[in-house]
Amino acid sequence: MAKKNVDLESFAKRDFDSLSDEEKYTYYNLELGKNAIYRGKITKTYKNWEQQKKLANSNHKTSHKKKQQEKNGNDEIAISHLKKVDMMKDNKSLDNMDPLTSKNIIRLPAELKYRKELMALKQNDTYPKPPGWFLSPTMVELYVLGSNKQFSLTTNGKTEKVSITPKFFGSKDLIQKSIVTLASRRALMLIGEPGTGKSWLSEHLAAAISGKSTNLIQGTAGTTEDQIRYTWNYALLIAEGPSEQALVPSPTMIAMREGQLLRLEELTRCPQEIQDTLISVLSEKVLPVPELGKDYYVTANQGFNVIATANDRDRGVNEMSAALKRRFNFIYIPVINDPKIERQIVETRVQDMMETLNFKIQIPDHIYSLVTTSFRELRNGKSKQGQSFKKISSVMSTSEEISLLFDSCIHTQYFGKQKITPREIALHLSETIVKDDPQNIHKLQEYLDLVLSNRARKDEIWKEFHRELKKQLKLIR
Amino acid sequence: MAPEIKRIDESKIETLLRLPPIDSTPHGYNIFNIKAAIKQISKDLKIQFKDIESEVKNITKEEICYFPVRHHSIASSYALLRLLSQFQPEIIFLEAPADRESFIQFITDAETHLPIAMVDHFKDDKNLLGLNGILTPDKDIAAKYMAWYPFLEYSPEYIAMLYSVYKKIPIIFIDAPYMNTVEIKTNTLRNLQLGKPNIKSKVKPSSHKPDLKKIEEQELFKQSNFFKKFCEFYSVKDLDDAWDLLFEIGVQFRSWEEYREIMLLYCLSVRETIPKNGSDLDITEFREKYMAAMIKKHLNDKNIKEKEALVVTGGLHSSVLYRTKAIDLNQVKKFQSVTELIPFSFKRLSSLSGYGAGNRAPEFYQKIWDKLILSNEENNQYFTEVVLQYCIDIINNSRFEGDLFSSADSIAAFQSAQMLASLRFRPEPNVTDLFDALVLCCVKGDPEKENIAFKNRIIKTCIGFHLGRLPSSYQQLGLIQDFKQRLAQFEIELIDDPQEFKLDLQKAEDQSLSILFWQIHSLDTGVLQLTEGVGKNIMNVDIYHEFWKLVWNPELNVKLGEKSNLGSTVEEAALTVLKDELMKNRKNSEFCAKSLIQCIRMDLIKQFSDIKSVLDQALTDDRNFFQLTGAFKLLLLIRKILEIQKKGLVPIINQLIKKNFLSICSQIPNVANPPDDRKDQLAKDLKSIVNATITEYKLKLNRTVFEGALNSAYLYSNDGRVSGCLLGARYMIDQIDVQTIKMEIIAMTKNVLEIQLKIGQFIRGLIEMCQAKIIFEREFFKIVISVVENIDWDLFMTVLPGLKSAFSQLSARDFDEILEKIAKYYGLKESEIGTLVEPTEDIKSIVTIWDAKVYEIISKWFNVVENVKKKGK
Repeated sequence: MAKKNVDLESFAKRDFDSLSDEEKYTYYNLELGKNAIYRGKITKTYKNWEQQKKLANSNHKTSHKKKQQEKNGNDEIAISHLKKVDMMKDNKSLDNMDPLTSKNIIRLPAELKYRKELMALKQNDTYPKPPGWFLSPTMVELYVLGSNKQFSLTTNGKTEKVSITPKFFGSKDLIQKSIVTLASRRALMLIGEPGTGKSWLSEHLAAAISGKSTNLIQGTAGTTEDQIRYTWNYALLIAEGPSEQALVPSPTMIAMREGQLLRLEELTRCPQEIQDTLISVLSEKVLPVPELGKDYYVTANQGFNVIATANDRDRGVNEMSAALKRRFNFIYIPVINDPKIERQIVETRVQDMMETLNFKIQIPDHIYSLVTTSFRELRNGKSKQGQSFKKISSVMSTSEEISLLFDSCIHTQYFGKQKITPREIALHLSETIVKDDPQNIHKLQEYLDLVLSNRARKDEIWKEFHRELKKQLKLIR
Repeated sequence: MAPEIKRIDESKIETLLRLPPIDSTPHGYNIFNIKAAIKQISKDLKIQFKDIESEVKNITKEEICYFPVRHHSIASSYALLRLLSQFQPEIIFLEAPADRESFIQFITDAETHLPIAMVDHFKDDKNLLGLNGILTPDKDIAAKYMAWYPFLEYSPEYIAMLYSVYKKIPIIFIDAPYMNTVEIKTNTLRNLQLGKPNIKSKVKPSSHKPDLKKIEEQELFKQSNFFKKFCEFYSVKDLDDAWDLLFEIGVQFRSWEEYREIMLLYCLSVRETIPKNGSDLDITEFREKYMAAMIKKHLNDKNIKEKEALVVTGGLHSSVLYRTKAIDLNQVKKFQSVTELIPFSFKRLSSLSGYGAGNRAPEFYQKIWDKLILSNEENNQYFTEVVLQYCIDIINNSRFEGDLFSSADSIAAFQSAQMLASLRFRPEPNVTDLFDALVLCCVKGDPEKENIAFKNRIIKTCIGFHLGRLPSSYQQLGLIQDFKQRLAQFEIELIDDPQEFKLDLQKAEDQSLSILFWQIHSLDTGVLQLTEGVGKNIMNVDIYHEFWKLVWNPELNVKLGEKSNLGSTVEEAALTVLKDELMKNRKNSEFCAKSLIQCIRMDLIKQFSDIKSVLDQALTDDRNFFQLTGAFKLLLLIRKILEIQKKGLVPIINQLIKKNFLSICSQIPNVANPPDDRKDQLAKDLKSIVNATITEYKLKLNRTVFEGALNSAYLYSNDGRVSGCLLGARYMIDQIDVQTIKMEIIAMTKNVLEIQLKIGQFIRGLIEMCQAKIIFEREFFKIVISVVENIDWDLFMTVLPGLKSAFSQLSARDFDEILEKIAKYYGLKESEIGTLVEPTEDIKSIVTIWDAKVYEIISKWFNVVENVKKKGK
């Protein structure tokens, strides 16, 4: 917890490297404002300290951070951000609060989780880069799609080989077009069915291009203009009137200032008039703040752009105004049809999630096969043998598949015998399918009767699956 | 043989040969060390790169200059021009079908507009290849084979021919004729089927027709592991992208020696990794042996030194020709195929149009070629310039078609194309980048569903609309000439604007024109459309008039050219088409009847008896009720037509009709329980037959047999509606009376629930078949009322949809009449018809109560409104 009796003036003037670990951590939290607990407890004093520090930095051009910025541009901010985190990691006394090693963290942002890969690519990047980008487009493509080649990473004099794992399994063209769009003046809109990896891709693109994926706005029916533009610390606003201190920047403003990518999830869920707030941001790359004077505006630095996502099942993209649509390039992310790729995605993601929770469950090959086959058949309304039946109306995306397997793993870990069986799959599959539309129960029954009953005669695994699913359906009824 | 110079455009070849020196300043076009890449890939595939390199050196050291090309490639043509301006051979050997040098004069004629194609076609009347009956419906029908050899302005073959004519040096076509390659493939497949153990091939024997398309070199590339690895290495999608990367982009910076070396390295690596077991490679090897023999023969005959010879062949051939053992040309069978020149089109040439051959975007590359040859500009980023122009043009055209695009979209698309190229390691954007960029910037949604028209527009623009033209000195194909002459007889000229023709078939001249139009129509040239008349809609028969629309189609000559193997006149070609289609569908009685109509319409009366025989047989063999009834309707129509034309064939048709009728009767029991989607058709067809039975008394159709069939089907049928139709049909032909129907309905009402549920559909079927004849029958009317009154509510709800459908069949007038009948049945007096009915006292009192309640509710609303207003004040 930040100490209230820190000597602010001297603190502000000191070089970062000379700070103690605790002070560094305080600085980290203050600067990034990540930890909600500390944010709430940051008082006016600290805010002043922050401003003083900034002033000190701008006046004292010999400051470490400024030197780095002048020398290497935005990417150094990202590197130093990552370096700080590295430094934090080694300090055992801060273990409980360290975002990297803390077991309280459910999910790290991509730029932290894959920081080694990003650093390795950065160190080996010889390709031309658009201004403000952390990596070149070629390296961004490599980061997203993975590579067979290993890259060397040198940290603190030590060199290691780093493999670049694939984050997105799909068409290379799609990734190339996304990258090209983000390097242009147009924003990127990723659309597709739910669960096809739009948000996932958006996060990784932001991590690779800006070194930061957390400039994020979630679109909902209740999203307001403030959440997109800026808002105020109303206590300060009322006490002192409009001022920069009272201004609470939105992720848009932060992204513009820092020259980073802004992520807008489910943009089409926002009311149209709220969506249209983006038009001036995307065209003029300017965000005026009239409350602070007629000439006060925030301009976007090189590297700023927007990635939005929308799913075409709920409300689609038809409700975007023509003016806003024109400022986006649209990329459609299809449902994975290739069974091999689907399997690869599911396996990778589930293993990843199990590692996070330190599960040691082995998922046998036949379980993967069972899940991917039944999902594909239910999604398409057709069995492998060509038999047709009614399609399930629920979203049967890869994301659902991953969730199902992961839920089964959790079930097995805590209630099972440390071994996934068709029983767990059957239990969670029936829930997945019935949750959106109770009528799906009949379609699932049809699948059971027409397809699984035949298959059960020839295969023990399917037999067990058929039996368990039948039980589940009876219970649901 | 040195071709005589007839009318070559000398300035053209001089311009082509006047190439600027190679720009040797450092540039970005050789940033990829292609040799190093090939080396790396070879290493991954465990190929000895050193062996390949030394092989290339051997080829380049040879006395004969082997020059590898890709068909329709700018880079190949450009490099060839550089070679020709330096080397100046005394003889050129060209990969083109042997012994067709006589066409060179027409191909290189100044009047010729490319693209044109040489077409080799062969009709196997003697069944030399044994594929008659496999490729054709019958052994007596000769299989037809066809191969095209197109030429563009930037085809290296064209460049070679142009040069040879200009320099008056001999040029020899050395490729094995297409039919010989077909023979090899057929033999290989046949050997596989016979299970000959020494033939190891991955091609599985199949009972399906063999694929005998001309083997395109690019197909062999796709089979190569090296090529697949190359695509992975450079992240290129396909051969065209790979080619652009390696050769097309930046061609102006490369010497012919460099081009040849890279080409040979590339092709040898590909060749090394094509699976050896495959009939396609067998054919390639045969062709190479043939080419080697031709080269040897002509060098000897003409006494020309090897070092003065230039051999221009596909890259895969060039890489091995120098060490290929020549075949004995006397052992090679000679097929009497016919070769012709036809005008061609960019669309026909483009692989994107779905055709197998050629260049994916001919117009696009034509623009690059024009810039390459004609441009004097210093900035020579030709691909970039053309892509920019396309971005602007396509967006402009789309705006003209109604899409809401602007210049901003052109700018965005162009920038995206450049960036995509850069990401894909191309120094300049190509067609793939252009397409991707335009779709990215302009399609706002799923590209598989949104704005498909825009995507098609991009493809069409890249392909282009160029049409070729042959010189006036070339004797046009018989078919094209005949086509023009026959139209000219009626003083008809093909023009851009549609011309409409209303033909009165009772007039002799119009009848003649109708015959011609039907013949042209059967050739599917796209210039003629029947807008009204027999054939357009068989039920809407005006057999005295026809309405046609004629409009010039730019592809006309091309299409006629492709059909030239069908006959040398329009009539001959139409007849061939008719015969071929008839044989393919000879078991379908309806199709045979259609062919008969066409035969009459096209005045091919000589075929009448043949078609009649086929139809006769089909009427015996066909077991499909719907096809038989289709044929029946058509035969009735034919009879009407022949009665007008007084051709004396009516008795023959009558015989066929009677036979058809009996066949139909035999099939009626088989359709007693049709699938749901066939019930409507069944009802219509039964009705047609019933009507014909009643009205065509002259035919004296056997009602007894018909009735028997209907009865059998009725007993067998489980479907309510179909049963109703069948019983109704019997009623219509006076085989039963309304009492029988009444008894049937009563029986149904007293039957089990399952039968009762069919009453509604049964009545529907009855009314469908009988219409007004039954609906006003008092007994029927009473029974329907009785059914409605007496069945319970649940059953009524089930029966109701059927009843509703039944009554919806009636015309408005009949419907009103039936309503009146019902009303009268329930006590409406004659005098009350047409007057407003006064409500009863009970109804009046209910209405009063409702009025009061509504008044209360509305008053409350007004009070609320008033209160709000007051508060506001």
